Order: sequence, then structure tokens, then C-alpha cells
Amino acid sequence: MLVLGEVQTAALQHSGSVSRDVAESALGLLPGERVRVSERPIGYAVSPQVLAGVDCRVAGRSGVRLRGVGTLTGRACLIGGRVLQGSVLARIEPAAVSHRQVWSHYLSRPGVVETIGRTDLSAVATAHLAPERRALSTMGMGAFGARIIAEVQGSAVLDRRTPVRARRTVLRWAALIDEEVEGVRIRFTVRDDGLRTVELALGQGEIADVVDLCEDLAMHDWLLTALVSVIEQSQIGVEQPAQSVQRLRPAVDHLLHLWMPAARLGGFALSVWDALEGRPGLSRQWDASVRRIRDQMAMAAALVNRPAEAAPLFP
Amino acid sequence: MKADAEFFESTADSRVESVPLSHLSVELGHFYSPDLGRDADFFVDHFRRINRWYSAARDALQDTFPVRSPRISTCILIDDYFGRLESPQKLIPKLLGAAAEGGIVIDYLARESGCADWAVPIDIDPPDPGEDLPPGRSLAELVEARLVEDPPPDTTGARPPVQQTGWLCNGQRSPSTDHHEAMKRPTGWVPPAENAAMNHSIFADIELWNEGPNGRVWSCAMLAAVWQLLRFGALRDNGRRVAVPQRLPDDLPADWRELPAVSQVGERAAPFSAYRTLTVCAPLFQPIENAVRTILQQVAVEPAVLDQIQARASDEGLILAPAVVDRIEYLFVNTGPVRGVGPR
Repeated sequence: MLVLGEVQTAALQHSGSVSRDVAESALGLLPGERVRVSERPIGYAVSPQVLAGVDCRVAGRSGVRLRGVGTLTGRACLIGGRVLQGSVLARIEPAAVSHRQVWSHYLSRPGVVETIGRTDLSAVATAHLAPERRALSTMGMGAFGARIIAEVQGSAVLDRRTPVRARRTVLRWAALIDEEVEGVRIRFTVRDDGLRTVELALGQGEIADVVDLCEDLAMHDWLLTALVSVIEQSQIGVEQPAQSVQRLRPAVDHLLHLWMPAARLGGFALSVWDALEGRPGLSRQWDASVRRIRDQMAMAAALVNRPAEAAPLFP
Repeated sequence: MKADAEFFESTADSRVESVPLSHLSVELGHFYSPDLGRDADFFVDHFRRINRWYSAARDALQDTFPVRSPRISTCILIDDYFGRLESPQKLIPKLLGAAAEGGIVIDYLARESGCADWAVPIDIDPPDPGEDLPPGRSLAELVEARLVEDPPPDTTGARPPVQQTGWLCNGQRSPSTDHHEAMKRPTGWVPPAENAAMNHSIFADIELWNEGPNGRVWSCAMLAAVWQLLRFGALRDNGRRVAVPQRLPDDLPADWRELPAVSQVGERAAPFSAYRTLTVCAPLFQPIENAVRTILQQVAVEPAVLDQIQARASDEGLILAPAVVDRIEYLFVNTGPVRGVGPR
């Protein structure tokens, strides 16, 4: 079984982190269906599942026309009342028939895209993860995810002020669940153009756990990216410490407390995080960045009330 | 020693209430205002004719179901939405009496306005004090929110949900050829196309609502689609049951709006909602039912509700079709001189 997905992560456009009520209202993408909210160990809200019908070309082995019919499922997640994700996925299944069926057939299997034509699952996964251009996304998954984020950001309960300037990140993933695979293999890549890709192969596992893992990875990758970008903008060592600290403040106010890898995960996802901590060592980089910020703040505090003086390194 | 710990947060799972289910819900006729004004004899004749088919349906169910005594409930839908009717005080005894004379028992009586009204007010279990009730939504709005349009070829996830025009179709419309932009060469006529066509198209374009002087007016087809979903017990509002049947009051009100959306007539009736539905009606209603099917083919029922119903069925040894629309059956038969929906 092959599952493809894409997670876009951005800062919620709101000046503070939002309360539970606001989260429920902003994430209510489907009238009549509840937003799920949990508060331990970190604030987490997830919208109802929304669907997008597709009937389009699925990229795969070159020269083979592959038509996919079915639905993509999407959802919005809000972590710590601050980090917003638009997460889209589809399970790819070769169709049992060679023509398009009535639409109710596809709607009774939400999140499944049936492919009509010779289907090479690994070629479809490769095309999904390694598009020629970042903007090319399988079956318009990226546009669907962007639409979900835009719908939440446009909610009337948000004030559209973002205290943290950070780029939106895109993590594209493909998971092959196949009994013949032993254990769990993961390959996490950051491409030149900024696209993150995760390639997973596992013997058994629930799709929901794979999605949770990829969303968790995307969220922490975004946090790290945002923190590094705040540190860069603060111009440590160029500006006076007090000024740098001013610029570092949004990170302290809005980001530092959110780092909690695998907080809501279990099973194989935990072991995947453990493996990723070895290399690339996301937490190591995070810890180093946080220490750097704290050192700056300690220094700024120590220098308070002292006349500003230049401290040339090579007098 | 290693300790095991479990932790749950109740709102973190998407629990949905369940509804009692019969094996079959039989609709004993559609009643619109032009017919509801008829005298008792008209209805006695109607129910007599229906009764033959109802008996056949009951026998067929008994023969094919692996349960000893299948649960069957009967219902009628009264159109208090489009037409002006006699008061419930007059009309309901007339209908119930005629059914009894025709040899058939009406278990539930529903108002068509109930499908267009607010969903929430009636709830058998009162909410905990202090619990916030979600804002009320009409059943039709709940269904409209769940529409996922049948995508024409070359549709990707980039296509936004089509602007709400109040129309829903099963394919691609024929582009308008009436207006040509200046300087553009006129294009020839292009036929409409059904998405799942087998060689040839049967294109259907269904009006869901239009705007009246007092706001949105839902179409008969849309309300009938809601009605089917109610009979399947497939609708929830934030996980709560909607239009839960209430006992028909002994003192009937003068105004239809004072009646619940679904009233239970007999005390010992089998549950209102069912795994499968059967509608017995005149061939006159075939276009409406075709519209209903076109709509239901594009409604994505809440997965938690579908799973719940499937699990209950499989506990009883039944296999249900995956799509709700495939659990509907019809008998289009002569039910007497029915006039059907009248002009508004």
C-alpha cells in the first residue's frame, strides 16, 4: 500500500497563541463536525477531515499515462495554539476496473485515489518526492493544503498579526506499507529549493500513525527553521546585545516552549524519531540554538546599566 | 518495575452518538399539498394499494435476511414546506384512520419542513448544565456542507469547491453559447457530459435551492435527500443525533411547526432509522428520486457514522453496500390518482 502526503506548516496569523474556543472556531472547516482538541502534553487541535474530488493524471513512470480518480483528504492542525498545518494525503490503489465508476463508489472510500492504467507504486512515490520543480505537486495536493491554511488564516476570529516572521515550509512524504519490508526505514531530505521530503517504508503500521509522524516532523522542522531565521535576523555579535535580545524576543515568547518531539506519538513513530535524533540530530541543533539565545539574554542582563562600549575582538 | 499508564482526553476523539436501527424503513408514500386536501377515501384507496407492495417487501425481507424477525418501521412524509395544509388536528387523524382502514400501520410521521429547520432544539438527553450547545443548523445545511462534487476529468486538488450556485450536476455542463465575447470567434455547441458515462451520457443537473423573498428556499429534491439520510440515521450535528423521533402528542397542535420533525405514532414501533430504505410511490416521483440519487452520490457521510452503522450491521451478520445511496430501494407503482408536487 502506498500513501502520499504533503504537510505545509506556517505560523498562525494571530498576535498571541489562541485559546481553545478560538481554535475550535478557526478550525471548524466542516459545519456539523467537531474540531478535536487535546491539551496534554501540548495544546493540539485538529479540524474535521475535508475532501477534494480528483480525476487527473498521476505522475509515475515516464511515458505511462496513469489516471487517478478519487478523493484527497485534508485537515488543519494547530499546535500550541501557534503553529498551523495544512495536511493532505491520498492512498494510491490500482483500480479493479479500467473505467471510471459512479462517484458514490469513490466517496465511500474517502482518501483513496484509484489509478486506472499500469501502476508502478514505487515510480509514483518517486515522482511525488522528486518533482522537477517544487511547485509541481501530485494531483494538486499542494494547492489543496494551501487552501486549507488560507481558510483557517482567513477566519474572522483571528487578528491576522503574526509576531514571528518565518517562511512556510512544505514537507512531502510517501509511505510504502508492505509486509515484505522488515522494520522501518526512513529517509529525510532537505532539498536545495527548500522542499522537505520523507520517504518511509514499513512492514506494518496504521496510516493515521504515519500521518501523525509526518506532521510532527514537519512541525519541528518548521520550528527549527523559524528559530534559526529569528537568530539570523537578530544579528548577534553585530548589534548591541540589548538590541539583539529585542529581536530574539518573539522566539522566546512564541517558539521555545513548543519543542516537544514525538510528544503525541507512539509505536514505530517513536523509534523513527529516535533514529532521526542520531542523524540529522534536530534536537541537537535546537538545543544549541536555544542555548545561544539564553546566553545572549544573560549577557544583555549582565551588561544592563553599563555604558555601551565597543569590545573589539582585535584591539 | 515498569508501570503502565493510560491517558485520555474526552474531546480528543471524535465520538458520535448512535441511533437505534431497524433493518428496513418503508416509506408509504410522498404526500404533497395538492393531494393532502383530498378526502379520506382517497387515502384509504392509496394505503390499500400500497399495502400489497408493503406486504411483498416484508415477505422478501423475511426470506432473505438471516434474522428471525426483522425490524421494519413505516413512515410517511408530509409536505408542510411548499404548500398550505389543513391543521395537524384535522389532517393527522384522517391519515392515520385511512391507513388503519387500508390495513397498514404508520409508525412515524415526518414533516418536510423538519429537513429545512434548525436541527438542534429537540434532544432526549438534556445537555449537562453549563454545556454549550453548538449553534443550530438546518439539516439541509448540514447535508450541503458534506457535498463533495463529482469531479470532471482533469480536476486536481487545486480546483476550489465550485462557487455555490444552488446547482449540482453529475458531469460537465454544456458551455453557454448564447453570449460571444467581442472579437472572439464563436465556438460551436459542446454537449454536456456525464463523468461516469458508459459510452453515452445521462447528464443530470439538480437545483438544490433558490432565493425566495424570505431567503433561501430548498428544493424538493434536496429535502428528500435529507429525508433519506435521516432514515439511514446518517446525520449528526457535532456528534449529536438530530431530529430524534418524539412521541406524537395526544393533543395535536393547530400549527405544523409545533410538531417535532419526526413523530412516533405507535408505542411499539421498530426504530425509525434503518440499514436500508424502501420507498413505495407513484412513477410520477421518479424524476425527484433520480435527483435525490444524484445528490446522495455526492454526499460524503461522516466516516465515523458510516463505520458505526457498518459495525452494527456486521454484528447482526448483515453486509451493507459501502455507499449509502446503494442501500435505497424503490417501488414505482400505481398508488392511485396522485397529483404530486404542486406549483408554489
